[in-house]
Amino acid sequence: MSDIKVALSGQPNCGKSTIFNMVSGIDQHIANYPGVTVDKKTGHFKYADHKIEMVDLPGTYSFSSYSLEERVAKEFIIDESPDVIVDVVDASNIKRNLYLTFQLLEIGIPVVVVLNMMDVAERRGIDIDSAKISEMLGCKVIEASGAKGIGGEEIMKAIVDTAKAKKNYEDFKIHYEELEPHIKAIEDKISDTSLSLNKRWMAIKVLEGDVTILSHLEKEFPDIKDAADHEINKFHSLYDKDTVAFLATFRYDSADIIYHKAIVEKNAGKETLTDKADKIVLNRWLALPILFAIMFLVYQLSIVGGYKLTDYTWPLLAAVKNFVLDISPAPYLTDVPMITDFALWMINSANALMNYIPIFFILFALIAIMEDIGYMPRMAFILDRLFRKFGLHGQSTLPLVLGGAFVGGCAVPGVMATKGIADDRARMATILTVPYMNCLAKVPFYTLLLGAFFVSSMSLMMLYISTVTIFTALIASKILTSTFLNTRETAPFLMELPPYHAPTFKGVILSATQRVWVYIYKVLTIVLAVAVVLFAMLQFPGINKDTKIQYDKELEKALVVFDKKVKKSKYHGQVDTKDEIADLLNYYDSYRAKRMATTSKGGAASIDEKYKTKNADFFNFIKPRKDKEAKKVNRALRKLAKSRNRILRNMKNEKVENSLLGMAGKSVEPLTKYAGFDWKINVAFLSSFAARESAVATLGSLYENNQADSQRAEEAMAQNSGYTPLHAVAIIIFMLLTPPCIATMIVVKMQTNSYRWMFFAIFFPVFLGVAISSLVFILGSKYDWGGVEAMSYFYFSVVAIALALGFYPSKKKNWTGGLRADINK
Amino acid sequence: MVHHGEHGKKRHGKGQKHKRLDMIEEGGKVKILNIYTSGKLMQKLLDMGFIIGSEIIVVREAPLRDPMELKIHNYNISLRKSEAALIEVEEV
Ligand SMILES: Nc1nc2c(ncn2[C@@H]2O[C@H](COP(=O)(O)OP(=O)(O)OP(=O)(O)O)[C@@H](O)[C@H]2O)c(=O)[nH]1
Ligand SMILES: [Mg+2]
Repeated sequence: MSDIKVALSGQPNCGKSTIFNMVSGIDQHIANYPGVTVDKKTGHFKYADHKIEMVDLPGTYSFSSYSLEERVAKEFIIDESPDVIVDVVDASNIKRNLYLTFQLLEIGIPVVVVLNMMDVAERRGIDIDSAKISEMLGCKVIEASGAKGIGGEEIMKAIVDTAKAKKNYEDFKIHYEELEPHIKAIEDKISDTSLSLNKRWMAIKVLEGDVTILSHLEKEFPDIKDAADHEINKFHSLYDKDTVAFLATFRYDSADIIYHKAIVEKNAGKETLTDKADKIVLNRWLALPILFAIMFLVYQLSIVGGYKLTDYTWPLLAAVKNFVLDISPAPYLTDVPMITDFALWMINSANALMNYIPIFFILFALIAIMEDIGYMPRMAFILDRLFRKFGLHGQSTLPLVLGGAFVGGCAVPGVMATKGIADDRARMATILTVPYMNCLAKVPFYTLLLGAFFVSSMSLMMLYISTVTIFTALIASKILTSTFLNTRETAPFLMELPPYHAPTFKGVILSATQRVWVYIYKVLTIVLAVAVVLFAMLQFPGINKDTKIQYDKELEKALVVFDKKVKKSKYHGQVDTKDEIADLLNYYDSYRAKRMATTSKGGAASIDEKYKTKNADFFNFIKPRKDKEAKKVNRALRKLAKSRNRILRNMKNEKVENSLLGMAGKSVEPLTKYAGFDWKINVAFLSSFAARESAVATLGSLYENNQADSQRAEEAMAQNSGYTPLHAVAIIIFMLLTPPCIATMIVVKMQTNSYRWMFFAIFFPVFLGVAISSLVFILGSKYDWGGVEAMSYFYFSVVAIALALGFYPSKKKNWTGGLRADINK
Repeated sequence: MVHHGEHGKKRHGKGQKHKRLDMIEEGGKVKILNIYTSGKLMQKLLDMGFIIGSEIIVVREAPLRDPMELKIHNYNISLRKSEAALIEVEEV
């Protein structure tokens, strides 16, 4: 009985996470996209009395520590010194994978090689003599097929056996010929180090200029760098060879030897299925149409289809809301307890976000399918040229798509998907531009404004709105990468195009569920936390006493009217006290809410039944049927309910206007007036920072008409706001450029690992938004532009600027090179 | 020394065997002679198997003509032309 610590290592996309899931039984995100796992994940399981702790390290092509993944992987090996390294090898791509195997063997920790994807190798006619490989490498070699669940037992057994035999483990050694004396020299120098790592390995790493190892050794040997440079230069002058290239070549040659001794490729040179498929998918003329067709399909299925689904899920959310309202203390006429108000506010904020879950689930499932199949790197391949011109990267495609580039999405998963981008500058630029994409939650806001001011040209405006975002993102990225991000490191674009895999149902569902869960968990918790703050900012200081008396008087009047009307009814006795009336009003409101949440006939009948048993007398008033006397009460009741709602709304508006948030909105009015925004719009924007949906809710309630209750928010806004279509355009432009919501900010903080960039991500768009919408508004007022006209000018200017910037070259940083003049022609 | 006539501004004389990888057309099969870079890019190229003497097949160019897709050590990789220009090859 002992604990065994295992590191799972291997090249990107070789199936480490699949193997990890198979043996540990923990579900990890799997995708056919190099570089999906960047953080390490730990799983615990038991095998034959041994407690095994397994860590799924990020995939690395090598152990040279130039990339983040390699640093994470290497630091784990150094700091945690695992007992066994499991090296997962893609059996269908064995030569390149063995290159890493040799580097792992040198570390001096026992290795178990897992030949994964044996099914693929078989299909391709690759015969592998694993016994021979095992003999040549001096370690256990297990054949497995993670996706098919084959080999888990053998892997666990090999881990335990290898760990037990650890003491007998003989160090693996490649004899590096002419480099040996130099390795020896460094080894001697560090012979009395306190680090428990293998000295020969450290010496080799030192000669490779490995930053991680050098910095560890520098603590004990301050001149280690000079010693290394000395040996490297000596080697260079003796043999005219570069140590780094020499070592790499040596390892590839060693891999080649194994390849020739242990592997027979029966179909070598034959076209694989992937080759055939790529002839179409990556065809010069078909690639872009196929890409757009796929995007369109994703849009149709997720956004359009998902929206239809929300018709079915909305009643569920409404039921939750009604339940919460049922258990909250009931209002007494116009006295709504704050706790009830608060519960309603919270549940509304949550529901607005939860409503998108069907859309997200479909969207994420489709993206998981594309990832699993292996389309994502191909998409990057197709679009890299375009994105690179703007400082982005082929791999920015996925984050932008998730964020809503083509179809509407959410910046939260978009920003989180930037992890895999190798190029630091492009990654930062992607993180900062994803929030410009069309967030799904902005849609209701646009719909409100378009419905109010652009009824006749709605589709043109919507087209502008949904396509302008990608151009603004490109401009923003270009500006950022040539200014603030100018000094960031870039990385060469060397991206593997892995063979196509059939997606597994389990994998797709798992990945979609995980991403939706992240959305629910991260977004909801944060948004709700902010909702609390906003609620407080909207509640205080509240209405002053004098006006409250005013409202009470209004209510009295309404009650007198009610009383006069019901006096003629024989039921007068049941509704002649304030308490009775308050109960009746609540009964009426809650009945209406429940009825609104059901669509089916059966559901309606059962609600009726429930309310009848709850209070048969009251039920008679709200559904009087042929009872003339009850009808009188019914009419009076409806009038009273209307009056009460009007009073409540007025109170609320006054509360908002006097609230802290209202004051904030007013205090920035001098600044935003150039863009035509008054304090109400400002308040809407401020509250939309918590969650986009709040903007619509806030505006809706601020502009609701006092008399006509049935008026829709659009009409109310058009009539009561005093805005022109030009105002609306300025508002739309600001919303297009507006800073990401709180939840996005949190993930920006997570991904950039800096508050500075988080604040930058907030204030840069605000500045841009205020500046550009002011410009459009001022020019528009001066030249008397109509709304559509102003929007068209804005749209085409943005497109033109984006195109112009595309021709301005971007520089690559931090890596050098250049070809000899005679062939550089 | 290779003679560049008036006729081929971009084409190279028949006798010239050394070319840059980015000049190789689709379907071309080449061998790496030299890589003119260092540091991070060099390490990355080495790690991906761009070793002197390795064989490369140019599979295709992206629809927008850049990057290019290569087959090396029997797997597929994409590389931008700006990087391919640093790799000296000969056709085989
Ligand atoms: N046919 C087949 N496919 C497999 C096998 N193992 C994994 N896959 C697929 O290979 C792809 C990559 O698997 P992952 O487990 O995500 O690979 P990884 O090594 O963790 O990748 P990174 O974390 O990105 O380094 C997925 O599409 C898997 O379904 C296998 O044995 N056979
Ligand atoms: Mg993984």
